[in-house]
Amino acid sequence: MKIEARNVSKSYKQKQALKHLNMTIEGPKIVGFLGHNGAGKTTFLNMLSGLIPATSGELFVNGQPVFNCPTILKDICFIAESGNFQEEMTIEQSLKATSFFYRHWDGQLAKELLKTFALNPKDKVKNLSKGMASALGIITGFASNAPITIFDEPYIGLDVAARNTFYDLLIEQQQDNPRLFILSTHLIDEASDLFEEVIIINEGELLLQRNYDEWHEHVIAVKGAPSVVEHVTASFEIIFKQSFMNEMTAVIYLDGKTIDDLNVKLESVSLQEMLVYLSKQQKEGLYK
Amino acid sequence: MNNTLNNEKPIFQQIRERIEDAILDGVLQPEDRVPSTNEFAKEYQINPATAGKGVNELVDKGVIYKKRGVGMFVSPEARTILIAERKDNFFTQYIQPLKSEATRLGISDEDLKNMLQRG
Amino acid sequence: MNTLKGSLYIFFQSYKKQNIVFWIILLSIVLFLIFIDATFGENVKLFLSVSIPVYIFFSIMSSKLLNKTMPYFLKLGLSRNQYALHVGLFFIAWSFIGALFIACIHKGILFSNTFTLHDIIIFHPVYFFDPSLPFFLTFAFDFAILLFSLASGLLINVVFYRLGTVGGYTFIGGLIFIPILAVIFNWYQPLFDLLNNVTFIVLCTSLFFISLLLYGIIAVVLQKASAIPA
Repeated sequence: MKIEARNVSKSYKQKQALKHLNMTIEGPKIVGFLGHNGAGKTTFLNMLSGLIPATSGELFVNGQPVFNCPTILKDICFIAESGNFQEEMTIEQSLKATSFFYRHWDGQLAKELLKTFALNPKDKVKNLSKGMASALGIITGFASNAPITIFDEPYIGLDVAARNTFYDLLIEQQQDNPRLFILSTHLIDEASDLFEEVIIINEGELLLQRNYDEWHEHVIAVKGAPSVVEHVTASFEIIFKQSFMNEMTAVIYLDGKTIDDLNVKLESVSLQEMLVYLSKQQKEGLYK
Repeated sequence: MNNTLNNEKPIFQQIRERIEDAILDGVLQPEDRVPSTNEFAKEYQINPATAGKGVNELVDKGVIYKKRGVGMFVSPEARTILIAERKDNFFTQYIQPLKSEATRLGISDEDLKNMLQRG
Repeated sequence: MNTLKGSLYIFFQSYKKQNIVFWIILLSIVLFLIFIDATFGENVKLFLSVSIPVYIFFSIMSSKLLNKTMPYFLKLGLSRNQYALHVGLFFIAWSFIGALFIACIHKGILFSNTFTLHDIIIFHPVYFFDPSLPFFLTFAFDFAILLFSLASGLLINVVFYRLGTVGGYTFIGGLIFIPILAVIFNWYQPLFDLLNNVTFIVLCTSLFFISLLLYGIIAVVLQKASAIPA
């Protein structure tokens, strides 16, 4: 499966959620789709699943425009944060209803997962707790067997144990039946090792897209005396900079280049830290 | 064996080093079965492709070998290969940092030698 | 084909409860009146309309349909055209069953009338035209009106969905103007004459086609609709 965004923009009344986004995602693989709140993640995912039209530009899957295209849309399963099911239907009915719409629906898996997450099939959706509704979303996403499966914050209200079950399932499913999984989450430290590719959206723009393996060679923190750090990082794009105890930390994009100045220390930056830096930068308006 | 991976190095590299350490420490003997990519992915909760990358580097080096349909095994010459490789890296990985820290602390080469003999 | 089955299943499950409640209430009222008629039949004369409450119920139900079902169906991968088509087929099935129920209840009342002294008089809009219409034509008329109620309820819903609250009420305000203008300019006279002169069959068919037309407009307006209401 190949997703292609060509110059996609989306404006709401108040703000522009996506700005001329160009991006290609190819799977099967597990993609971490990250960015701080309001960066435009959910807008993009909504568009990818055909829920909202683009203001300009177009989104393609396997070369076909996604919007109103049933042949593409039935291969995409989108599990949003909430509101995935009809309130007055039971869990059992919801799963049965969904089974009509996905060609590769795995009813057996759905049944097993109901037990794994200890859900009662006779319970009505409107009576489910947040965690139970999340579990039903997770079950639906995996059982859909859709070539593109999107989880947008899939585990609101789930405890550590249930989240671990989700991660295990994701690994298992990716081995048995590789798909393009797009996972958007705020629990980055927990999930980052599951990603094969990382996409960070910032202010409605694609900030970076990398194999997670290359992450450590791409983004790095340079530490040392302020003047030295300033000098060493002069030719790099700086993401974030701060000074503490006469030591400056500059987070930069290495972009394949190397730094071999022995007067500075190089430290790796985790995905989670990177996102914290990004939101700090946004608050301070350092970067436009 | 520490069961959590850290952020300092790429995951696949850490997986590779885990296996190497196990072989060097004798935890894995020649002809022992090495966990599959899938087992690694599940054990460490990491992406299967990443785990595969780590394991495959060892296959390429001849440290482990694949038996079709059975699994992966430690090759008889695994230890020899790894020791040779680590010796090559010993200077850059250990001696150079040692030297620079010693310089920072003002430890002379003579003192360093004595320390090494004591240690 | 599978998606159509799925859609009808979801519509059925989503509207099952409201329908059961409504028909039980309606049926109890009818039974209660038959009971009153049987006991106090000599002293009171009873009027009853079964169809008009059903028309109202249907338009209320369809005036919330989009918000309730469209995001869900789009998430399941239907295009907006497919959704509009499936809603239409569901409406046809629903109106058919509704008209059938109305006809059965009428039959029941007429049957009870054979046992009591005074008859319960059924009030039905069809009797404006011709009080002696056969059973089948009353059914056809109800079917057409129910379809029309659903389509017009949905039209209101579409307007609110696309234009938001302000736009929706502006539209309704505009609609209220039409009858006022009709009175001022005497437009109702030719309409009245027309209604008086057309045959019943023509009326039914034109109602059916008006519903279809409304439906086409709705489908076009939905073409670019977002799953999130305005």
